Amino acid sequence: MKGADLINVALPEELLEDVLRRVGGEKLDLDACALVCRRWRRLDRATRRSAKLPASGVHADEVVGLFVERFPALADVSIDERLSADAAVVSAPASRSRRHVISSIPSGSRSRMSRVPRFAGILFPLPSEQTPSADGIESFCLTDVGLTSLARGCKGLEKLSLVWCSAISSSGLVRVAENCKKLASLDIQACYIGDPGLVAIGEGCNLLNNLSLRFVEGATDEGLIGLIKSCGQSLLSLELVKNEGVISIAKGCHFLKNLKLQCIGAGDEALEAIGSCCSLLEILSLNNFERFTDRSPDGLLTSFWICRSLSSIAKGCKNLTDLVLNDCLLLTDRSLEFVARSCKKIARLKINGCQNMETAALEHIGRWCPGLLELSLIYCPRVRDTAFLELGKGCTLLQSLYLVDCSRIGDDAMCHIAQGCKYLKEISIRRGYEVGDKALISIAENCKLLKELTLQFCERVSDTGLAAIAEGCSLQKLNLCGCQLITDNGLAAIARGCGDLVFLDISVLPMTGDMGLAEIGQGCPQIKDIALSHCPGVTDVGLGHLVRGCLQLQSCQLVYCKRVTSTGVATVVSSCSRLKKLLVEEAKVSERTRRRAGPILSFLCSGL
Amino acid sequence: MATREAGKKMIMLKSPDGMEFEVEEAVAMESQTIRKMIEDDCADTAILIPNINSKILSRVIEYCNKHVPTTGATGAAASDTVAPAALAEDLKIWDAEFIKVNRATRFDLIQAASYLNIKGLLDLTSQTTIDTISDNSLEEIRSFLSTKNDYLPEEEQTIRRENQWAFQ
Repeated sequence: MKGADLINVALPEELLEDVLRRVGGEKLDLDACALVCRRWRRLDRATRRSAKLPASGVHADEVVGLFVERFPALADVSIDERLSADAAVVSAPASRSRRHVISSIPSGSRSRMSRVPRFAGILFPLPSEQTPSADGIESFCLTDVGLTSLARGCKGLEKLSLVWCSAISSSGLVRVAENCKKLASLDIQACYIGDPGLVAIGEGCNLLNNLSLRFVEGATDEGLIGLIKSCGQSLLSLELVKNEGVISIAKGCHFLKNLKLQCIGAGDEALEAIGSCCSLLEILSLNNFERFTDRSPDGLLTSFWICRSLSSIAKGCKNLTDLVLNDCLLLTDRSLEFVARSCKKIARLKINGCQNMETAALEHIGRWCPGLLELSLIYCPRVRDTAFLELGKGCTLLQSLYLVDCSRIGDDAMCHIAQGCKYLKEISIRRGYEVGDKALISIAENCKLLKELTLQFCERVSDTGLAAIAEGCSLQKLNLCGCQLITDNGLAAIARGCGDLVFLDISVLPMTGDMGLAEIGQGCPQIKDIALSHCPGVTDVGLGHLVRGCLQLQSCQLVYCKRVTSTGVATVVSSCSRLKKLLVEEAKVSERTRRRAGPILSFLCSGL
Repeated sequence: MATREAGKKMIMLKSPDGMEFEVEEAVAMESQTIRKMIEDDCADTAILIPNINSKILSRVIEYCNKHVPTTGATGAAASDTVAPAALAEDLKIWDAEFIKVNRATRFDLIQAASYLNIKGLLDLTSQTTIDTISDNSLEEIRSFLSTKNDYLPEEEQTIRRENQWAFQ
């Protein structure tokens, strides 16, 4: 069949375009398509919509310019200062020597094409006209020059992210405003943008509905007011750090649906203004309230202040569905009660690091917010089990529950929740030292829809609880990292009960070994992602049994398993044809394995 | 030539190579193109389907037959007892079997689905084609899809290098 071109003959342009559109936005897949033949490359270039480009490096402006030239249809561009254009650019001689390597790869090799460039291609000499900027000052990141070529080249831009691009100034944004009339979303986090840039964006981009100005230096109230004067009506989502302009924003953007505020510096009036003007607000995120302690004479007054501000939000924003409270150290039960009583549509509530919140706050949520779907409590050490009695009674629709570092929450709490919330799909408990088998048995009996369960470092959980879960729930994702009582028997129960498992983390389980892995290999053929680092009982034999069954494996973490040798690693690599990532110690990789699977190996030790 | 058979309206579809297919109107109307013809009253006699030969047309009809919503038809008795989810699952399995055809046929089916505007079939055929792209090496893509590589080696290297400009 080789040589006979069927698809290009059979399919006319628009049909092929339609087919290729289904590849999805994945860059690697699109790159692969572009490499197939010239026609495909032309189609890819004419239609590609999103790209992530480097902002760092001497060549950043150049790279952006060249890229834009090739892909004029880009609508979603994110320019990231953590990425360097220099990584993609090395001097000509070096690249010549590497080209030799490329040509030595047999063209029919099975190496995943997306991986090839990592060894092979890296790198290209830029066109020779590229020189350091004329005035002799080299810039090391994207400047207004690059931004201007982006704005001029991609007039259809809808979404632009310029996080941490510190060399961008107002004049670059003015070019964007002049050219990109369809811009709907702009993120200029941590850029140094003056007022003229903001005003120009407001005037030029009337479709703007999503704007992030976190940590933006250089802009003042004046710029913000100029911005919202023109596009305040369309603005639906706004992220801010400095709060000088909050009052004017509240007054200018009556249609605001999404507001994120960091380190409130404005005072009561700001939140009161939001409460009274932005009645359509659906998503509100308040971060780092604790700074306020500095401003108030004593803690008491501050907590009173938060009560007052939250109560004005509660009164005004009855449509609130999502509330995020991060590091609001002084958040009290009373202030959450205001919210619960008046914002009955709340569906997602995330409370992170609010150490003063106690049990009563959650009881109010349970009593007044029957539509709650998602609840996250992160580092709320003073919440006790009884809080969950009301939650279980009231929030019967709850689907996701995340409990991280809530040290007092134990079995009784989980039993209340399990008995009340039959629709739970996801439960995640990290460092729940009081949670044990009793909780799991109750979950297994009641939450038949549960698909994802995380029990990280829940040290009281044992095989008994796990067996109940395996029998009662058909899990797809299970994380047992650090549940040290678990043995091979527990894993066997899981293997027999949860045949649909696609993700399994059994890291840091000192009492498990090859028997457990063999069971998993036999019972869970769908697993794509497995982590078994820090399992001292696992040997090459167990790995062999595992990979004999788990043929779908794409990702495997395998560090600090001291009885696994290079033989085991080689077995994994040779058995799993779909493997895309293998994390392992470098010393355990033989020369042959490295040759065979170089691109999918990863030697970094990720945080456990 | 709309005839009646067991109280059902029938439609005649003709392929350019002269074959005629009599199908229920509901089945033919799975194709938005034919539906429009029928609704615009352009379908009193047989409908000629240009560009789609009898072999492909018969496969398309087979697909439509399976996917036509079971409303009081022969499948009614079965569908009463079978849960919708199970039915969808069954259909998926059937689709997977249906699409096991050679490449040339699949590309013809894409064209037919596009011309006749049958979304489900277009999705199925295109997606099957595209599924070969992710997770496969370049040579595999080229050979699965039967595309001819018209790049010069040097040119291919340039594109590979340019792919490094952007990141995931």
